Amino acid sequence: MTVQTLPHSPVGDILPRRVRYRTWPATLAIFGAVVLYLGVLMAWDERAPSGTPVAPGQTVPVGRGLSYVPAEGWVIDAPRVQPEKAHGVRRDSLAFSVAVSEWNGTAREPMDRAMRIALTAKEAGYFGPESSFTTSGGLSGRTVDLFGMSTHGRYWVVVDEARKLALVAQAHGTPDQFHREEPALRAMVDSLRIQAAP
Amino acid sequence: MNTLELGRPGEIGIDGFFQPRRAAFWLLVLFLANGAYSVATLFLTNYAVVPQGLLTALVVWTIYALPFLFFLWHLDLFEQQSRSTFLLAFAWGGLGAVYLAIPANNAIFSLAAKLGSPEFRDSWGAAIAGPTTEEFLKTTGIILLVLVARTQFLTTLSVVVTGAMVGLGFQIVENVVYSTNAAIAAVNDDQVTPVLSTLLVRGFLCGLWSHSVYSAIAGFGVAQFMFRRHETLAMRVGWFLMFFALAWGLHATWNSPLLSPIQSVGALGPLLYIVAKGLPVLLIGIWIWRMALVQQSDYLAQVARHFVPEPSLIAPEERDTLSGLGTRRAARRALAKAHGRPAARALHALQRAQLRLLVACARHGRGLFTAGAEASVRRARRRLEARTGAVP
Repeated sequence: MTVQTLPHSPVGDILPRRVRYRTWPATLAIFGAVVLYLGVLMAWDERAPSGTPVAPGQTVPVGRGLSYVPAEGWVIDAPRVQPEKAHGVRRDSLAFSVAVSEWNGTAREPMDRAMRIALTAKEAGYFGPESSFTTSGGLSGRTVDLFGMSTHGRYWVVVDEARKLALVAQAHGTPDQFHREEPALRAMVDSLRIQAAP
Repeated sequence: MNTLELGRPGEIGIDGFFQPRRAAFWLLVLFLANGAYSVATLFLTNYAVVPQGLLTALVVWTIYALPFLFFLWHLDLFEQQSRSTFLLAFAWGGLGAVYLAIPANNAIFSLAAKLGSPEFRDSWGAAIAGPTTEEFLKTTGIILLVLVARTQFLTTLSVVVTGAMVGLGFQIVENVVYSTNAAIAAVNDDQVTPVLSTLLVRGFLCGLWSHSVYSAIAGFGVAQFMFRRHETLAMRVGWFLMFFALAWGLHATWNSPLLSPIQSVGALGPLLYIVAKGLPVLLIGIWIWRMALVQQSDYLAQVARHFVPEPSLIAPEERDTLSGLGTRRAARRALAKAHGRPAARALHALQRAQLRLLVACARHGRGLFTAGAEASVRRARRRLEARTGAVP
């Protein structure tokens, strides 16, 4: 077997060579860039003010004819607002939101789904007993308390079969604040109204 | 037999991706492991809420991915890339990039609502978050893979195909998430129909001009940085940034509401809207692929000239046609006319064997490593001669 060596062949440049090379400067730069990108965005989001305060007594439209009156001193939780779908307000660590959507399924499923989401998202470790509620506007549904490691929350679920709508209101925050603001939460749920069908 | 050998014995060859002595390997492992945990947790969460929805999504999107995998496998001419490159690229897109993109995108959407308005977030949030976060993270994966085992990437095409695989992995996992979100937001107990609707819209109407193409374009930029070694560092960085910006711009345009008015142009408006947004992406993707193929052809021709001089392996008239996709096909057509389709198939087999030999030469130089490939070429040539009646 004859072996020909072509050390200066231009094609030598394109042959892969299994040689040692440093990757740590580029690796460090990549790691730094990723951490910086995520860190800056998350810190900025954390520090950015959530939203504007709500005027006392102001009725806020959620969508599909649903509206409610946020409690005084709460601010609009802009990231939770989805035009024609959902609205939210917050006070310190306590958040309250209402979502409305078309619903053609069983009356039970929206509550089951909300509870499964709370469990799997680790917002809840266990639930309190379910009970029924009725608002002064005539909406009636089911409500349940949820308890997490350091959170207390509640769901209010209404299925309006006539209008084919499901309404899910939820509140969660630290147990202390939840109890302190419970009257405000009840007032907001009580203010929920759906416009009469045309 | 002449054996051409370059450099010191054992120095020529391809590194595997298991490189514990390289820092890039550990960063890749870190992000992939975190990504696998994060995506698995997300899927388990979705399974608890919409089990039928998630299972349907996993099945339909896996089936959907198969032809794309097959297509990309064949884009990479003659298995130049190892299976581990494809696997790692897909995993980076589907695990590493997705895991890092979720908190970043959430923060951008939240900031868009806070600093702008919820309406601004709904209109422009995706146009800002999508390209900025996702193109950055997907391209990061391509660069990490190159850093871990740069000898795996011999040509522009190999980096472009790796980029496309990263994009495909991202696209598939993102679509599974979108599908289950649709099932969660369904208007009734049916969890399957929303998944199938998502498949129709995101898979069949929007899938051709999605993440695979954007990442292939960004990958082309990475390849320009890698292979334009004769140019200054600033020029090479400039090439990379130009193609990254192109990928970013196409992604941003796709996600933006700029072309939304087209949707209301008659009954075909929605279809026209998708084509108007997607066709430029597809055309640019094809242009990128053709440029990568041209560079691949030049490279293969150079390898053939230097490593395979024997006419018994590559005949003089085959040298001009071998390195180009179109010229190989034209040669087969001409042979089919003269000697029938079986002869054309035999020529196809010969061309594949010759290209495998060239790829083997390009990876290891000529020698023991290529002996099997040489034997395959000679066998394929004998079969072709038997079909055409040519005298050896």
